[in-house]
Amino acid sequence: MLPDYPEIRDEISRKLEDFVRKRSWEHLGPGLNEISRSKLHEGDASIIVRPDGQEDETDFKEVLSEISIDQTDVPNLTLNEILTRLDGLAEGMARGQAEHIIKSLSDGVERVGNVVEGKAQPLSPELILEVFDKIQLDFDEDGKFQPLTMLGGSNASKAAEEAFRQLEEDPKLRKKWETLIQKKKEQWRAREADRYLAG
Amino acid sequence: MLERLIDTWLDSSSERAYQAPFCQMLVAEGHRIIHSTRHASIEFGKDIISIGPDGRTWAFQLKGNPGSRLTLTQFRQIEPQLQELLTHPVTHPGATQGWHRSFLVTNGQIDEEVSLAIERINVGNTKAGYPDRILEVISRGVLFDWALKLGATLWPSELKNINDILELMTFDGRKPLPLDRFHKVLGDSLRVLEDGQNFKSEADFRRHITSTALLVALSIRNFEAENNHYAIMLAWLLFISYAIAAAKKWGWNYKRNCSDTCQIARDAIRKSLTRLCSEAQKNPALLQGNPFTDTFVFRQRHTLVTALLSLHWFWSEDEGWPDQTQKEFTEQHLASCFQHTWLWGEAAIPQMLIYLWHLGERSASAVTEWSVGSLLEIVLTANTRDSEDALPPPYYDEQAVLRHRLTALLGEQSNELRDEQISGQSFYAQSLLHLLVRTNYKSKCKVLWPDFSRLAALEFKPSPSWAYCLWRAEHGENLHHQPPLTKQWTDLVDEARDCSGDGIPFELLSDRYLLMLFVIALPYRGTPSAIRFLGKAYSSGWFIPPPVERVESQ
Repeated sequence: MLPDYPEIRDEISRKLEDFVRKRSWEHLGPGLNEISRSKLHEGDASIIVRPDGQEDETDFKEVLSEISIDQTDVPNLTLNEILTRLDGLAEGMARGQAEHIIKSLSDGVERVGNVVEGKAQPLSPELILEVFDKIQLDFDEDGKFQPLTMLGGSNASKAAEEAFRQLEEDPKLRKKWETLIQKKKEQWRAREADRYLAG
Repeated sequence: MLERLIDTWLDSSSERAYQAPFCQMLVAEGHRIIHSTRHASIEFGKDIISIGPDGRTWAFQLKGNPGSRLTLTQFRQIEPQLQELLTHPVTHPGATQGWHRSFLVTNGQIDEEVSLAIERINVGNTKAGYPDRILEVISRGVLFDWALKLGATLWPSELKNINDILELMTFDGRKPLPLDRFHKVLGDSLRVLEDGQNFKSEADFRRHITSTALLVALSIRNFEAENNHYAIMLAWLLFISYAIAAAKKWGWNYKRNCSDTCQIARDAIRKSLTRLCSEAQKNPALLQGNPFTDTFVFRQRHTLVTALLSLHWFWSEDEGWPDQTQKEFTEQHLASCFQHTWLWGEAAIPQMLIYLWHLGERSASAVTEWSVGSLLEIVLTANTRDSEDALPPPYYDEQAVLRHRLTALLGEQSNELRDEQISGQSFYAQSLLHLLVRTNYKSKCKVLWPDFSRLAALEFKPSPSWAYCLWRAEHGENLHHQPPLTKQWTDLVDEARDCSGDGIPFELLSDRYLLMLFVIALPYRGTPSAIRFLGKAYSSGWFIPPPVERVESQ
């Protein structure tokens, strides 16, 4: 073999791996990068066992992202260029992860029937009320519900902002919103009251 | 290369270090070991007693002469003990009729003057009418040949992890035993890893068991040299658990093929526990090394040593104390060391539990019941959803947790926990709840239930079940149990009554000391089933309907 310097190369490699890991997390974006992660130290399956005994097995998906470096580039690559390329790799990883997460979420909500058909219409206050009516909300000690994360493209975000504004400012819509939240709070209280050891 | 390794091992091992592997070699030569001394002082000149392949009782006295020779001066010093060996009968109940054969064993060479001195003793005894009282010698050459014969079963073609073995042999003996490397070496040797193939015959399996025992002895020489008692314990413990796994995986009878060799390993574990206690007697403050850095690790060391001393107490109360001073020291020390114990992670929970069980057995008060409730409360509070102080899962050992806590000093890169969200879940909450239910403190359980119902109860179920014995299992299910909002007390009681040890191989279940040490060493194997079983084995407090236990015939 030719002379080599494995120790420093290993150190650099670890730092670059760290960079990719951090950047792919950042590329996932707010919302998706708030989802809990945990390491599986052994085994090859992960199963959620629901209170009613039903088991939901997590589908493992391999996420791949590739970059290539031409041999002729190697002598002249700068650190910035390497980081830029790795950032591209991280973006690819994040895209793959995001697709899988969204698909898993979609499959999950379809399975339990938590779907509101938008019929290709813009996100409206009425649609938001319908969505919130279907989901479970948790509240804190001050009576505020735990913040939710909405996923959507930039147009959907603008539409959501407008819809929430209307829910706040339009008196009729506001009344509907407040009634809905009150109903959700009562459901939450009933749930919390059910947390007991009987007998 | 094998010769070189055995050479190196023989030339660096103390008498204590080669005693267990010497027993393994005797077993390989057809002996049945009936006694192997644990004590500092030997009994009537006999360190080891066996029934030899000739059906006679053999008695051995071991001397350590690593890399040197037994000189006449040294021989004269041990001559009284040798006379005891020759002249005192073996009174062990397992000994056969007739006079025993006597052996002086050394891992060094014998000086010519010593050979002559032994010759004179033997001639003298024969002329005096005691032809049976002949001192025979097993020196380095014989040990080397026996070890080579054992090792040849494994080397060179079958073992893939030569590098791992060499790394273990040169590993810093002051460090914790590198479990990942040991897993590869044992797993490869006993063929419990993914691509292993069955042994050719029962005899081949048995040979591999004793050869692997020799491999363990070679691998831990640096830990022996540093008197790293806990590392030595773990090495022999894993040998036993991997032997169980191999027997189960390939369908060989464990009792017939492994139990003799594993009994020697068990004795070695017990010896190391005794030595740890001796060391603690001399250093009751449990401090070690540079005080500036010891301050960071002291409480974790203290908690672990407290757990091991608690285990030593239970074990010795059952099978006999090495000496009375150890009993007095252990009881005094454990009565007063609570303030330094530390729940640094879920991995420390088994350590806390064996200590609490010891306190419970020593005291007539409800200390255990009260403490288990407090322990559960701490876990539920720490691991609540969005908590930033959650207890790390039991896969993270002392060093990993310290790196996590000291990122300001050590940097983020070495922090294994950096990307993991650990709140909202617990491996041990369910086990602790079951232990609390057994105390029948229903009101306490009711108070804690709402918080318990908010945590996911985690558990790993290896597949197949023998993989429970391994450091890591290739296959198996990571289970996340979501508790119901409402639970019936009677259902919880039924769960808590289950002491069957489901999922744990019978051979481990049948030895509560080894199982407890196993769960201390690999705390993620402290499944609810294991903890319920151990709770019944170590704590007499039981205030609900009778336990449901496993019935298994061997």
